[in-house]
This record gives sequence, C-alpha cells and structure tokens, in this order.
Amino acid sequence: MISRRSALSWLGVSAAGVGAVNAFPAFGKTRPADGTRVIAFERFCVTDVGQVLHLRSYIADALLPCMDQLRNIPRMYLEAIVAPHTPETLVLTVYSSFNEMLEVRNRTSSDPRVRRAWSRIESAQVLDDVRSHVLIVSEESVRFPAESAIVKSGLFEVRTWHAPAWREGPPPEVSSVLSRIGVRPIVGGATAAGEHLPRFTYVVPFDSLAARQHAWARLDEDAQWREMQRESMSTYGSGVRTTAKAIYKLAPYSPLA
Amino acid sequence: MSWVFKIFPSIGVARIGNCPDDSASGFYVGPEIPGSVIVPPNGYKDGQGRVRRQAARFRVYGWENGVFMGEITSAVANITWTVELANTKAAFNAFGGIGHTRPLRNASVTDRSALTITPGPRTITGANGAAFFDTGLFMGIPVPLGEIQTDGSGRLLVLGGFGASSSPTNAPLTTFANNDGWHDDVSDGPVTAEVTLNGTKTPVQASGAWVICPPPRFAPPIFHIISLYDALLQTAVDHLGYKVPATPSFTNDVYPILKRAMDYQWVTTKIGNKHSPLLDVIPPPATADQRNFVFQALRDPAITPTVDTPHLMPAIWTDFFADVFGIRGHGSPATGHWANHALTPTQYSVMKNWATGNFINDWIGPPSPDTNITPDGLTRAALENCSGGPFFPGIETSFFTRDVYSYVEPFRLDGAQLNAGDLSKQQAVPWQTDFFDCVFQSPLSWWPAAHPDNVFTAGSNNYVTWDRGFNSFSDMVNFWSGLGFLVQSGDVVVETERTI
Repeated sequence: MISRRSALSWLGVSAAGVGAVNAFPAFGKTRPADGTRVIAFERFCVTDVGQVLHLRSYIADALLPCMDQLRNIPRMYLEAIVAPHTPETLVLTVYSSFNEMLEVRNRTSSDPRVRRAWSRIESAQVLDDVRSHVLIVSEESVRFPAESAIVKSGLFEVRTWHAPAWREGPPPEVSSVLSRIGVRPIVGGATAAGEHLPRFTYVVPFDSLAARQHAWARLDEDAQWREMQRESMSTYGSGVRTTAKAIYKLAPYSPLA
Repeated sequence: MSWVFKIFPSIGVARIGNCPDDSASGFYVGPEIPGSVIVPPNGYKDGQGRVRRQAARFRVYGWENGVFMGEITSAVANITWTVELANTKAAFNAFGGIGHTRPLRNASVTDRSALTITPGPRTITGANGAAFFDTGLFMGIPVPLGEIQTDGSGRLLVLGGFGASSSPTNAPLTTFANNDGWHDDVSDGPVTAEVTLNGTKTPVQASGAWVICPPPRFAPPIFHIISLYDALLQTAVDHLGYKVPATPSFTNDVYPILKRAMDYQWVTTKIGNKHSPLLDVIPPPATADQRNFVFQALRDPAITPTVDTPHLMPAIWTDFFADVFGIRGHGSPATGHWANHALTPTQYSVMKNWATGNFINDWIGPPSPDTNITPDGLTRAALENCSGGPFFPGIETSFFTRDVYSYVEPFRLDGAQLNAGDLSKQQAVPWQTDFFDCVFQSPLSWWPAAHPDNVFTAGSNNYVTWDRGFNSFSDMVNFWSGLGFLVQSGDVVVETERTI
C-alpha cells in the first residue's frame, strides 16, 4: 500500500528535507552558491510483476509527456533488475532548485491526464510504496545528460555509502580512486538527514555486470583506498561501508534510452 | 567482491492433486506472503472435479559482501536448478510414535530398492524449462511424483504427485499408518541452484532448500494453532540460539494465536462458540483478569506430555499418543483422557507475557497480509500453512523435522545430512489412511485445520461432518478429491467445491 505521506510527497504537497555536500570534490572543492542541483530519487515499488505494465503506461503515457511540455528537465527512468524490492521503477530527475522541483511537481500533479492516470494506479493497487529521496549536489556532480554516452550502456548501480570520515565530504582522493578503478558516477551527493550519516549516494553506469564486478573488486585492492579505509578505522572505528545498493537498467521509454 | 546466494523458501510446500494439467491455469502457486490465503481464480478443482496441484515457487536471493541485493532472476544470471523427489515410506520403519522404533514396513521384501520411488534428480537451466519425475517405480509399477518447471524469470516451480495410492499386491488397508504392499505419491527432496551472474564464468552454489509435496490443504483460511513455522521456530530457539523479542507484539504475536483458536469454530463443532471469551480481550489491553483467564486455560508445555490436563487448551492430541493409549489401528481410544498437545514454549511465553501485561499494544485492527514478497516471508508463508503438531505421525512432515534433523540456520535444513524422501518417510502409507483416521477422537481433535471435523455449507447454520459419506480407508483412497474446500465468505467460512 502506498503511504499517504509518500503519495503526497510525490504529488508535490510536501518534500523531503535534506541537504548535501559535494560528493565529487575533484570537480569543485567549494560549492558554488548558485551552482547546486536538486536530484530527486522516486522509487515506485510495484506490487507484483503483473502490474508493471500499468506503471509503465502511467509514466510513458502520462507523466513523461506532461514533463516534456514543461521544460527541459534531465531525467532517467530505471527499472530494477536486482534490488531489495522488485519490481521497482526509479525516476531520477535533476532540478536546478527546490523551487523548480516543487513547481514541476505541482504542475504535473495538477495535469488532468496525470491525475487520471494516477487515480487508475491507486485504484488498481499497482504500488506497494513510493519512496522519495532528495539530494542537493554541486552542478559538477551531475554528469547527465551531458555525458549521455556513458549513460547509454543501460546498466546502473545506485549505491549508498556510510563514510564516518567524510564529515566535510569525500576527500579529493576519492575521485581519483574511483576513476582509476573504472567507476564514473553520473550523480553523487550526501544526505544530511537520517541514519548512517555521513551518507553518500552514487549512481554509476556500467557496461555490464561483469564490468561492475571487476570495478568494485579493484576498489578492494586499491592501495590508496585501503589506506583511507585504515585511517578511517583507526580514527572512527569504521571504514566506508555500503549500506544499500541496487542494480537497474534504463527503461525502454526513458529519455536517454 | 563476494556473493552469497540462498534459495527461498528454505522449505517449500507443493501439494499433490489429481488434476494433471501442468499449464499455468491448471495449478496454482502456494502462499508466498505470511497470512495470505490463496484462492485460485478458477477454483481449487477443475471442471471435472479434480483437485488442482499447489506448486511451490522457489527464488534465489543474493547478498554481495554482506549487503542484501534482492532477488536474482534470469535477467542478471544463469540459474541451474536441481531437484530430487523421492518417496521412501514403504522401505522405512513402521510408525510407532515418538521414542518407539518399530520393525521395517514390508519386512518380508528383501529387495528394498523395489519399495522406494526414486526417480533421481532433475535439472533445469534458464527460463521456461520443464522436467518430469516419471521414472520412479514401486514394486515394478511406475509412480510419477510430479515435475519441475521454470517460469519466465527463471524461478523454480515444483509440482507434486497426483494423489494416486495403490497396492500392486492388492493388500488390504488395515492400519492408519503402516500398510504393507501400499504406496502413495507424496514426496520430498532437496532443491539446489547454481548461479552464474551474467558476464562472469564461475558458478556459485546457492544455499540449498527442501521441498515437501504433501496432501492438499482443504481448509486454507484456517491456520493450525501450532504451525510448522511455530514448531521450527522453537527448534531454532532451542538449537541455534535464535532470539525472539523479549516483549511480544499484540498484533503480530498474540493476536494470531487468539485468532487461530477462534477460527477453529469453522472446522470443529467441539469449539463452536466456546472461544467467544477471546473476543473480550480484543482490542487490547483488556483487563488483567480477562487476560489471565485466557492464559490459565492453556496447557504448560513443561508438563510431561502424557499427563492429563483436563479441559486445558489446545484441545488437540499429544505427539505421545502411543504412550497414552498404545499404538493401535483404526478405532477410538478410551475416552476420559485429556493428554493434549501444548503450544510451543515460545508461543506459551508470548501468552504468559501478554497475560502479565508485558506486551506492546500496537493494535490498530486485524493486520492485513503484507504485499511485499520477502525471503523470510516466503519461508514463513510456506510453513505456517503446515501442521506443527501433533506429529502422530503428522500430515506434511514428522517430528523428525522438528526434533532430529540438523539445520544450518533457522528453517534451513542441512541438506548434506539428508536424503530425498527423509521428510515424508515416517508419514502414513498411504497418507489417506491417516487422513481418514485423524478426525475428532473424544475428547480431543487431531488437526482440524488439515482435516476439518465439521463444517458449514453455504447458507446453513448447522454443522455437517466434513468427510460425510466416507466410511473406510478405501473410501478415502478412492474419493479424497471429492472432499470440499473451505473458503472465507464474508464473515463466515463455508465449504465449497464438494464433488461427491
């Protein structure tokens, strides 16, 4: 069942209160005052596989055309292939500001076609839950659609790290380590509220599951990363720890597909 | 990067049926969410009155470096499933109750392999496959035990046998549990999976599961007062150090016990409206006197099983029936004894805590089944629909599963220590004889949630005997599929689809 709070949040009546620091310091060590982006993660958890087509219809036939009419907002639609809850569709949207996010949500939720489609979704009990998560990140931390070529691989991991040592954001070495092992996040940011803080969420494209396996295996073997982990352990009693991860593919109707 | 894969449910239940249709509309998948009741859209029986089989669906879940990732399907991996089913009842010892080892069944048969129905393992790789357990023999007669399929996502479906029991030697049916010369086609066995993630070359063995293929469940809305989940939870507590919450939840722990007790009104006239005082304690907190009144009506599981505790609950026979009355064939024991089966110590503790006021009052109304399928939920949903006692010898499995066999983790048997057929070998052969006999035996019932004693037909306020017209073991062997199924109809539970 969809919680009322979740549904209202999605419809723009309220928004999750969060903040963030720059997750990619190599691309901008100080956060520009007006150079931030708001990244909205909307997870639509479908009751069962038989209902997936209903959600696809809602997004592709109602939500997506409506947003197309509003303005050019970078977004992706991802379908989970390995995730704690499946079926799940993740809508990833980049806004220039909170105000823009709220404005867009208000306009889409008042669109008659979207409202009708959403009513059908609710009455058919298509969704178990809608989970919202918002990050505020630096402009440089968002690499799509500018680098859409890497996005077109179609396989993505959303990974969340709890990193007790990164209280001021990830140290500059993190970007170089990730780059060295072949991990090039298209989105990354820190959540300022909730458990396991400091907590960082990354969206990483991979060419294949094998490439993903290979990349993360290299991280475990990277000397600089291991040294960072050791220092964190000695100071905070814990290194960087993965608290959640899920693997997605680009939905066939997604703008970047 | 290290992956761990596990199969869920860790013990799955695929129930036999005499409808041979193995297309998707010919069978139904058993409960996968705790508390849910499956009502097949096209009925429990087909147009010819044959009982549809209940498939057990198995899934692989993955953990990467200790982080739960979710279900692994053919979208991301190549999964090779291997299942072995066997029926070894006729070669095992005759059943005599806990602590009583009896001679072999069919002791005069020297070729013991002729008594075991062992078609061997079957393997399927990828989506939309099928393989059949159709090469097993009993005394030279073919006895199919069912089949396995994979669905479009590479999940495994196990379908059991067809309810066919017979005697190649035309032996008579003489006892409830041990009939030489007879076979049935229930079965059980290991379920394993080898998982190769796309783009990788090294397959990883998933932590294995087990499947039981017992008789049909004719009363799906009625849950056993002690389910197999409760019994194996106690095994986990006793032998694996599993911790249950010190303070029970009213909604999740207490209410289910109360509801099961009240729901027995739909399957035995002996309960009738006698459990209506339980309504006084819902909603919580009720008064201390009201709670204590209910608790004082329960048998303490610490009491020696053969000791009578007149009028205490649950009003079902003990596992140690043989010690109370001596092993006997069809017929009623002497009346006047009340050697009943207690709740598990964990269930009893829940009720004791509640009675003393140590519980979480989280009541907002009767809980609805979740809508999420989860690994642990798959196991619980499978096991809570099975009897957790009395095991004399039991309907889905025996006390071996609770008391004897080893587990590698809660609810996951150590497959390395077991053979296909081990979970059903102690059960009655054929199952229909025990099923016929396990009706109310004054002053207690056996397992009315498996074999209802008395039911209501639609529109009637009067109880009728559920197996009315069945007068012998042979009747049950020949006509079991004509028995009705119970369904929830508004506020009542009624019999439907009776075809005899």
